[in-house]
Amino acid sequence: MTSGFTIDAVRQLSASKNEPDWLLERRLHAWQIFEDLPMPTRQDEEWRRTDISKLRLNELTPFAPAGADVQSPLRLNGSNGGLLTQSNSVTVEQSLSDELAQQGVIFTDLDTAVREHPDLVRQYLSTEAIPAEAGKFQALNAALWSGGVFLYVPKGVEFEMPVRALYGLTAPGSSLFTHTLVVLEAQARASYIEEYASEGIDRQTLNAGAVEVFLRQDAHLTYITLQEWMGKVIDISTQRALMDRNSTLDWLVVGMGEGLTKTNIESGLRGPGANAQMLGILWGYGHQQTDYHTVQDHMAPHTTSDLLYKSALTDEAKSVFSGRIRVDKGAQGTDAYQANRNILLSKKASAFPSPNLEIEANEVRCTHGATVGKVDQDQLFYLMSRGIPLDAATRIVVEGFYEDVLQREPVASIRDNLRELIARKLDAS
Amino acid sequence: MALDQQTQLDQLGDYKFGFRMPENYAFKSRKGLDREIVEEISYMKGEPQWMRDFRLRSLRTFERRPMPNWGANLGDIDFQDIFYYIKPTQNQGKSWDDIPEDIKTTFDRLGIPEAERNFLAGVGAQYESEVVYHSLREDLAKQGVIFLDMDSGLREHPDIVKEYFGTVIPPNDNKLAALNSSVWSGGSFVYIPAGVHVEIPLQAYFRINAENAGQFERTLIIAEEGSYVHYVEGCTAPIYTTNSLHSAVVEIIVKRGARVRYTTIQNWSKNVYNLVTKRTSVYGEGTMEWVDGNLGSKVTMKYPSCYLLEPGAKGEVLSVAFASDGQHQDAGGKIVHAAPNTTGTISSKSISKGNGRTSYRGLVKIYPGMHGCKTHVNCDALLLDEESRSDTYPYMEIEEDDVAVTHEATVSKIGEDQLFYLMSRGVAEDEARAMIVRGFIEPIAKELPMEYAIELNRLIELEMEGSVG
Repeated sequence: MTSGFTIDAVRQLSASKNEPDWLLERRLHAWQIFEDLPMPTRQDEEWRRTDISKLRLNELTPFAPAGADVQSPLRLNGSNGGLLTQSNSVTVEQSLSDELAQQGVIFTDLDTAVREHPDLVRQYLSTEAIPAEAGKFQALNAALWSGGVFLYVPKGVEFEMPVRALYGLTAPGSSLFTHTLVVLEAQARASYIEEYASEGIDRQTLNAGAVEVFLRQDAHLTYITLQEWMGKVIDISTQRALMDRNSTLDWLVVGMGEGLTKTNIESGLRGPGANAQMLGILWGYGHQQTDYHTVQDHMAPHTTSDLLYKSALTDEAKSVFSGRIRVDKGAQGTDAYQANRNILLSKKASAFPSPNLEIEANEVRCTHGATVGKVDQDQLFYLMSRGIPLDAATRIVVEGFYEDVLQREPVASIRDNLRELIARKLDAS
Repeated sequence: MALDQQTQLDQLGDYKFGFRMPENYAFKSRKGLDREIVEEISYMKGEPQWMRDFRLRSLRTFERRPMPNWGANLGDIDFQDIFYYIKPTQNQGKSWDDIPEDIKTTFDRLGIPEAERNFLAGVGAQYESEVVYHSLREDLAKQGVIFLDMDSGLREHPDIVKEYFGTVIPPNDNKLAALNSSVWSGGSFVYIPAGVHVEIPLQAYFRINAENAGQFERTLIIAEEGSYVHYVEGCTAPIYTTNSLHSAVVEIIVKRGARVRYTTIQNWSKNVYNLVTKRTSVYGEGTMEWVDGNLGSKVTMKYPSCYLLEPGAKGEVLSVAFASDGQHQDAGGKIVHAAPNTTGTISSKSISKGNGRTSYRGLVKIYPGMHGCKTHVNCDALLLDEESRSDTYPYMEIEEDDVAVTHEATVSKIGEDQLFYLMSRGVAEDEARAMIVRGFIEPIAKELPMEYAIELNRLIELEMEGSVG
């Protein structure tokens, strides 16, 4: 496929997959919105700290065939409850345990889901959670997504063993449009781990990803999303969960990549009693720039959310965190908390936290806090007084800094994998 | 007073200072803004060439700069529908007896002469666009303290003014600073010589009277090494039916070891756009304290700033905002650490009532290499009604590792338990609510001079009347 994005690329992609008319129409509608919206610039409040003027969309190919295998950043082996692997724009592997399949769980790539479960996909894809109208890159994703993940858990079905997906990227100069759609029906309970990793990306490559999550009444999702894009990957993604009455979301975002990352992470608490826990572990190194924009959107009364994002930064890494707690009119009884902690390990690292509150209901309790500083000197002094050299002591303190987030991660079996990943990243720098 | 006007006033409610004297102006320029108007202002004031050039340069900047779109809604402002200069009487009053009767009446109702009789150091009262009355206690003059309106300051101390004017806030800082720089009129010029401690607060009242009269006062305060001054600015304005604009620029220079406190209780009537740029350059071991109260206006956008330029400089911003129906208070503060070992504090308390909206917006910036800096930001908001809205937008730009920056904010309503406790002691509900609100702002009210703390409490009580729904 030639480089650059055109309406023909959209038609060609849809035709090559033999897609139904409604989906082609949805892609073309999204394409129109992409064309109509201006490219974001630093004049836009949301983009004021992230410069994407060097992004050359017309030099990227909108589709890339499968390439070599990419290793799981968490070093997860086996299929667990289910496994899906996508290489570049193509799904290369998918499996689901018999036990889950028998209960009606669907875990497949989105292309297959469009063929086999068209009504479900049609209801949820690019509609309420992330419509194409949400923005330029959201529209681009809705027009050009390929492969993707569809996880559907029927009413009342519960499973502990996580299903997992791995998005691998090995095609420099391409663009990837990952799209994950997760639907948990009422009283369903599931765990899902998603990893993004790349190898050999020596020139500008884009992922404009989307994650749409729907939790019906009393559903409970434990979700880990981990990104370790290596090389020259620019990631501009939106992840949004819509939560109905009394649903629960435990959401851990892990950022270990080295490229430019601009990610929107949003919980929309639209049913009374919904409860979101949002955790983040971010490690910044090299010339990396991350820009995480989180939203805790309280649309219904008696909803709770609790966010804790921690980032440690070294080298010349720059971390932007813009977190927003929104409480809509009528969302009385909201309880929202947000904390962003940053430690700077080098002179040239920088942090730009901006925790925002927008409150339109009065019976609420909303608190946020943000801190920036260097490694705790008392802890360092203590360790060094025990004969531990500065480097090792600093490392112990940084690992401890992340540890309280890890302790809150409900999938206990994954904590050791995360600790090993953190140790590997700290070793590397 | 014409009947239709009286009707309008009645409709607009019981604003405390909502009276109006008939207009009687010596000179009133036409509406709108262009090169000719700016030249006319400069000519009327008999200014030196450099100031005229400064105004014209600023006008070009104003025309070029975009309207700020990141804060409150400013869509209703029509810059061509405003009088940019009005001179109330031909000559500046030398003593109270020289002041025209109608202006005196207005001042009487604001309580100025009374305050002066008691313990005021000096009064620079801005009636429309020029200071008409000014007094300075003799002992201050003996100490070398200069307290003039800005126009007289420019005439009598051109060298000092030229050295500092527009250096803390250059005209291209933002669109409204550029507007003020091109059409400024009035405001205060304060110079405190090295080592002089001014024991009593210097006060000035600023007022808008004519309909659509833009108020563009310009204040410059220079505190030489080791000096101290507390400057108090208060604003009230009569009610009018079309939108008025107030856009001031306040520049303060705090030299080594000096300390300046600047207190404002802003109570513009609820049709005024209050868009103000206030900034201080603080040098070694100097201290700047902004005490900023925002109660009036339709829309306020004001973020008093401290630029900490040498080691040991300290900056503090205390901000109180109260927004009731139809108001948006977008206020906060900025601390910019441009030297190592500097410290800052921002404390904000905001209260939203009815459909009022308060927004805290602030910045903490630490440049690379500025080690040992500490800043703490604390914002608390109280929401009184279901339709009230409160936002918090703190920005932090930290480019140095050896620092400690903390921010915390809480939004809540009046605690039922507090209310229950007070009412169980026999306090009526509305009084109990008012008491809780007063307690909420107490940490800032106690920093005010006594008569201002009383006024703040009275204004809040007034706002709280009938708040039990």
